[in-house]
Amino acid sequence: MHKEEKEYLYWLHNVPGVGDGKMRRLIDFLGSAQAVYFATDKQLMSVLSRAETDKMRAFGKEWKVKEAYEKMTALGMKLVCEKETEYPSRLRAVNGAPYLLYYKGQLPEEKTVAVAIIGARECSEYGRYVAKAFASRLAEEGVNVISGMARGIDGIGQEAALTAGGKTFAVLGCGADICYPAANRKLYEEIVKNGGILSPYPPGTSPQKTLFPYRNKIVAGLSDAVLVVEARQKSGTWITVDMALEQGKDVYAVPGRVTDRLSDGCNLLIKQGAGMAISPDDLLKELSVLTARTVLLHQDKEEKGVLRFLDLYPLSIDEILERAQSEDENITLSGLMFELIQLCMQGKAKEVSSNYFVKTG
Amino acid sequence: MFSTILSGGIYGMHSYLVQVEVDMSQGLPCFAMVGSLGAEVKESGERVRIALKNKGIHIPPMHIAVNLSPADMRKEGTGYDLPIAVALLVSMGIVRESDAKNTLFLGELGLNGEVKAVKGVLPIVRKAQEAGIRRCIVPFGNGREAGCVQGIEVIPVKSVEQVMQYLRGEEKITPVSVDLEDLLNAGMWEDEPDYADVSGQETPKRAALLAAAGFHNLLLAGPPGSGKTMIAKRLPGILPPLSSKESLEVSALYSIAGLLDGKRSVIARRPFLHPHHTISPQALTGGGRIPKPGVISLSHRGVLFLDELPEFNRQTLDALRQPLEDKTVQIARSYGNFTYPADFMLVAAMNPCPCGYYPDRNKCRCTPFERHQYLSHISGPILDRIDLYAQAPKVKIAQLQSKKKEISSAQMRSQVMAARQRQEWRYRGSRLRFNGELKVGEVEKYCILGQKEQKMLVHMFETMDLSARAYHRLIKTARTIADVEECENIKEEHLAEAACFFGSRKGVFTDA
Repeated sequence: MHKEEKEYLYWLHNVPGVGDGKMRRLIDFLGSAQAVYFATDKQLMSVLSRAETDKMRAFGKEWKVKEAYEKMTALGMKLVCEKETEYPSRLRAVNGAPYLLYYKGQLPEEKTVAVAIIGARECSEYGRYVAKAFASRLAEEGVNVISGMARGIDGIGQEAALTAGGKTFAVLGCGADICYPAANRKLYEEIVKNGGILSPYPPGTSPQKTLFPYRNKIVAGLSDAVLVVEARQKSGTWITVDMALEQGKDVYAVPGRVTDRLSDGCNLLIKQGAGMAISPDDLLKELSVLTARTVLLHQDKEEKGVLRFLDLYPLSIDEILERAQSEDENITLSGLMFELIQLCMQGKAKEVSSNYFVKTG
Repeated sequence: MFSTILSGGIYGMHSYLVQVEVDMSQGLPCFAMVGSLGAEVKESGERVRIALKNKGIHIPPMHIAVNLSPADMRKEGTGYDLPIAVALLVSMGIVRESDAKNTLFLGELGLNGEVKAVKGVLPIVRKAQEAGIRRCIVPFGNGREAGCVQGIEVIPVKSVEQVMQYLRGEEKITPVSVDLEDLLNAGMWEDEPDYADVSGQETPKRAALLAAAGFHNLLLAGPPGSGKTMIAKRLPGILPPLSSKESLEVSALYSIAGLLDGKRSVIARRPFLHPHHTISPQALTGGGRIPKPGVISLSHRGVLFLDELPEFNRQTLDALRQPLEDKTVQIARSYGNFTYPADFMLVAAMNPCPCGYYPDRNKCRCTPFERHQYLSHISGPILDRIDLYAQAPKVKIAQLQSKKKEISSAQMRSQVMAARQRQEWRYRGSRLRFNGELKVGEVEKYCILGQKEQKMLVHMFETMDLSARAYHRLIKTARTIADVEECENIKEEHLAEAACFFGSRKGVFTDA
């Protein structure tokens, strides 16, 4: 596709009131975005209403087609249209996929397995650990990790994938030039280097609640399987899961304790028939990435000392003491504190909040 | 005829002696009072005249002038009634001047001649004792309070008539003398709530013990109903007793604030104040034209407990910054600058997040932003002055039902006392009393670490991402832990425990 046509596509996408549907119809009718730009009112009005035509005309005067496009590319942003071969083929198969996709960095690799790792924004230490474990193992095996770069599971998974040397792709519910949430700035920049930031919305679109469901649809669309790490019974994660099922993708969920509200969603998914992801290698096996290799199931090493009383969710010193004293009555509070700090210094445990400790992976 | 009588006044925290001068001369009958007097002192003339009349003493129609010297000090309070009455009696020749010599008088008069209790007796009597005055005559209600001062004869009186008869030698009154030591040691802890009532909660209880032993500021966090308030309210039961010097210091403050009465004539226990969170900055620091001691001064040598810390107005909390640093509070008003002592132990309780359940993710859905907002009510400099952070976890029903013997206040008290003695010995001959008071230079002087411990500290700072500010605070706490464990030197386990109470990496509660 010519650069010129892309400039006009960019213009057309920015016209207020023109969505994917109208855009498709206009281009089908007139042949190209450039043709739409130069079309007569009469031609336009066979697709648009009078008011919409006027709006488009008014907007056309303001918009500097060439400069605007160059301004966008100067930000490192690229644009891909459904009609181009570069357009992700997985997405092409999705009903209602975006006509245009903006991205920074690269597009997901066509021949690599892509897994979406999604979950709650306010995750627990358990979710954090699991997301990290799965993402880094999958990334090590070359799987592309797709997610929404949100706070919590999304971001943690993507960060772990990058740390493991893999590629990860984030689909945003705002312009791909905007880092949302702002706290993930570092992650955003890393993803641009080793993967890509994608968005169906023009640059400069600010994050809005209403834009996120569609974003979730694209996350599901870009992946071969969806892994839910932690989700409440009512959560945005369900949108992604529903979309994935609609698109015929596999859904896996990480089981949690039945008393954990943050695992309710996952457990419910498993009950409804989702795949149970009990270890990264198990999941890889399911994805048949690892079929040829021996599966080394991650087994817990025999843990010694106080570490065995710790868990993946925060425990207060009192709770740890209670656990420890049920095994060995001679353990004192001071002695336990000494051991805990030792573990923290060795990086085996972490104080997540005053007097609350978790073990780290 | 001219006469002069001794009395005393209070100006802020400063007490001074006042000469009450009365002159009766021929001329137009009047009763003039001068000497920079407050409204209640000006009214004194009327009270004195009627009180004397009702006791059968008529003041002759003469030109009467009363001067309270030094005339440039602002005089407030009702304690000048009795000295003015006595000065008049001397002027009228009813009482001999020599009988009223070397004696300090204080007291308010009722219209029936009764002598009523007044504020600030204790510091004035102390001042008189220091000035070498032999005897003081105080209202009966203030007798025990004044009696705590040794080396001066304290005569409690009930009416102006009794004073007259006593001065003329017609009646004998036994002087009061209170043995402060006895009072300080008598049945102190009988009615204090006991730590044995608190089930589980070993970590926060340990933190309370350390706070009491080293006079460290303490912050307790935890979900609603976890017993933070219970733990804090049991602190007075384990604090080391007041020394007699401290007791006089605190009692003087209470005397000035008018909080001593017949029932509580002297402050024998460490004060424990827990103001409601709607308190104003003035009420906290001390307010008024001539400021009265505020809540922080009334907690001097004791505990100031702020429950629901983030609910306090930020301005109110910020008013604590200077007193926490200087151990005194300076208040500037139009009448001058006033300094009150304010060396208190700050104990605060709060929820870790707006809903109160963090880090229990099953219940807490507060976002990091919300938690941050909640904690930002408390300014950093306040948090910096807190040495001990402890979280009280949710109480399990099993704990409430368990028959396990909990550590009692008596056990904790003996540990506190042992640590107290170690500190007394270490800081003998210096201004210091507790580890919590150590300043940076003093930490280096008194808390010497071995090589092993220093290495561990370095390692701890590197791996646990502690700030440099934390360094001295951590060592101070470790010193107290070593004292409680009766160790001469700070060991590795003491440093580790101090780190546990350190409030995690970024101040209070880190982000999981």
